[in-house]
Amino acid sequence: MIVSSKLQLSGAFKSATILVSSNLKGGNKPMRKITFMILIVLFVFTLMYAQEKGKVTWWYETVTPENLQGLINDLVKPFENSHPGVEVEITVKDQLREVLRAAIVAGEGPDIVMTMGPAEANRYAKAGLLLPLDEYIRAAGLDSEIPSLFLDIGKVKGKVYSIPKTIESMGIIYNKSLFEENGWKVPTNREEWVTLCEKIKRKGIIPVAAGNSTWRPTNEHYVTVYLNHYAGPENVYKALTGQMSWSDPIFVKAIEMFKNDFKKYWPDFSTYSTMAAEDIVPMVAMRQAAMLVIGTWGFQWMGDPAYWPSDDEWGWAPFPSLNENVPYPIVDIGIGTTLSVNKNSEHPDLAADFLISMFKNKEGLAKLQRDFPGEWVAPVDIPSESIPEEVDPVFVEHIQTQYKLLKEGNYGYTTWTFLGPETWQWCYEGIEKVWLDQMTPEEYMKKWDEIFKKELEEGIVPPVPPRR
Amino acid sequence: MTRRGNSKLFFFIGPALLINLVIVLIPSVSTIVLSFFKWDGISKPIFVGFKNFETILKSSDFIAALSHNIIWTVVFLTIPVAMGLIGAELLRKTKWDFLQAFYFFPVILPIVVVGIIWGKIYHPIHGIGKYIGVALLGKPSTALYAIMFANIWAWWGFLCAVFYSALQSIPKDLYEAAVLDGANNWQEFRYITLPGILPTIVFMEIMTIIWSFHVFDWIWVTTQGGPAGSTELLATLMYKKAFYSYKVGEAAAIGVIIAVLGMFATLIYYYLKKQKGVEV
Repeated sequence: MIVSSKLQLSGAFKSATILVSSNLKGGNKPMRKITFMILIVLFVFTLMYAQEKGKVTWWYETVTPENLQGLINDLVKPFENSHPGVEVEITVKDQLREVLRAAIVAGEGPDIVMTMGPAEANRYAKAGLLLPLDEYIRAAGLDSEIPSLFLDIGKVKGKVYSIPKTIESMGIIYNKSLFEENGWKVPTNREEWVTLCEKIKRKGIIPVAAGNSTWRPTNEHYVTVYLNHYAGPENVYKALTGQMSWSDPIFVKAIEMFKNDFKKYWPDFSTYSTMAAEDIVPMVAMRQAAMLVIGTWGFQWMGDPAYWPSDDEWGWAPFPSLNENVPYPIVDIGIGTTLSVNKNSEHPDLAADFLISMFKNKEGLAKLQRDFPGEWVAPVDIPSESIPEEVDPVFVEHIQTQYKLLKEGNYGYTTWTFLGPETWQWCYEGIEKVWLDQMTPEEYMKKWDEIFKKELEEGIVPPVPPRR
Repeated sequence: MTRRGNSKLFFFIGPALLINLVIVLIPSVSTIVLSFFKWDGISKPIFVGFKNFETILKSSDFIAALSHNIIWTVVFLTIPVAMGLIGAELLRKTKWDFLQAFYFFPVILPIVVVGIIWGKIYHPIHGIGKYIGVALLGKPSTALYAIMFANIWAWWGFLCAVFYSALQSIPKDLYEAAVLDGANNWQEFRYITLPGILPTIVFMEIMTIIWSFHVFDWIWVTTQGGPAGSTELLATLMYKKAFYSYKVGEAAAIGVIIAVLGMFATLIYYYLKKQKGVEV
């Protein structure tokens, strides 16, 4: 496509040059002036076109300069080096979701489309705003490498429109030194969880450090964990596919259990509502709290002295089972962000090439575990020998466990990946009313079910691939 | 005026008119039109008539947000106005004009910056929350008032400057005559200052009503409508409907309701303008 455009342009330029040179030689003075101006304009446009022909644009969500540089060094530069004349331009957008929608719907926007997950990406795909990626995925052999769950969820009418950039799961990051000194063990079931939390409380330490001041939807992280680890992934799957009601007693009991645990083991609500990562992670490091119930993204703060200002070690473990019928361990799988190609891209093939190259560049992805931990856990197999030594071994253990449990079918479903937008909003807003006794768990799940059923009928719930 | 004069006039007002058309009129009309459609902001809009208005007006979230806006309006119609009037009167009496710069300084700071700073001031670990034992922005019963306090801190200086400027138009001999007649400070304020700047006070009160229904940034920077919806205002609800729930039609309906409330305030202003003593 690029080559044929070049030929067309050179043909037009040739005709224009012939016309212009004849005017310059034989034309009168005004004619020569006009002709000269045309030449200048043609030259400028050619320059612009020549500069833009090899540019891939990408709008990225809020990111630190260090992490962004890591991404550029590990994934962008290798692509640019192997494609001379091509530039990848990354622009950081604070309100990415909002500005992206306005741009894409207007037929503009970046070549690489980064969304918060398949629910958002699938909407763009349904509106015909994204490029199907099946051909590119097959040509690169990624269809046999990326687990089908992650490709199927990005399908609209049988075609794949998005690839997850980050596979994430919920778990516990805990102060390992504190645990070892006190002889505390990582809990594997409900009884152990309650016993541990009570022991921690008796020491004057908050069992779970948490806060949602900078991201109100943080509430759903805990809802996700209690639904999956009490009601069980099979029941969550049934509810997500409309085979079971969300107001079923098993889900209501899960929320009831969570409400009681939140009041006993989390910070009090008014403090919780005003804390963020920069508060809660140091609390665990400094032993004011013992654990974080957090997703893969939590590892971006581990090892950063600003967030972990102590010599204590940290550990990771799956969240315990809360019901004897739910196996241990399981991980609640989510997709943090997806990547797609804008249908209106000026260079769709080039953009798709770049997108695919990122998933094929195992060495770059391995380095990103060091340079941008917690946010680039791509759904491809990265050989452990290529992971740099500096990468946190706890993080490596987490990724490997996550992948292993996923392959074994021991996984649950995160609310931010598998719910429609209004149900998702209710999930994290409504739970606060439950915590504050403004609403019972039954009423909360009843409304959840009503909203979910409406969205399922409208076809805006992301497709949930069958469980293995 | 001649035809040449008319065209010159158009040449000068044309650019402003064009900007107004593009930035104000077209989006306003689009919002009104969209309020009658079901639209997720991405696919094709579907006409639904007044359904969006019906849904919104019956929604408990809307009622809660509207009540918060009414509280906000009542507070801002009273406290900062009173502070501005007292401040302006004190400036007149003391002639310490240099203080205006201090009063006005918070007004020129970006709201995002001020909001973040106040969030840190209120913080339960790093701010005054630690000492008073209350996370003001984290408690549903205090969060809205904590934000209003911060907004009043940043806003009252503007009102003070406006009222002080209006005070300059009151003849000084009125005050001299009052002093000679034995009037005290309160009597000067009550019988000369207040009636003298009444049109300005009325105008600022009406603008306060209109601006109160537009508040978004203060809430978004500090609490995003939380905790538990206790600081949700119509503007933040509208934003969430459009960008979180993908319900642009309902968001547009909220926008139309906000505009209607603003128009209502404007009508009150025009009615009051005609009353004796308030005419501008």
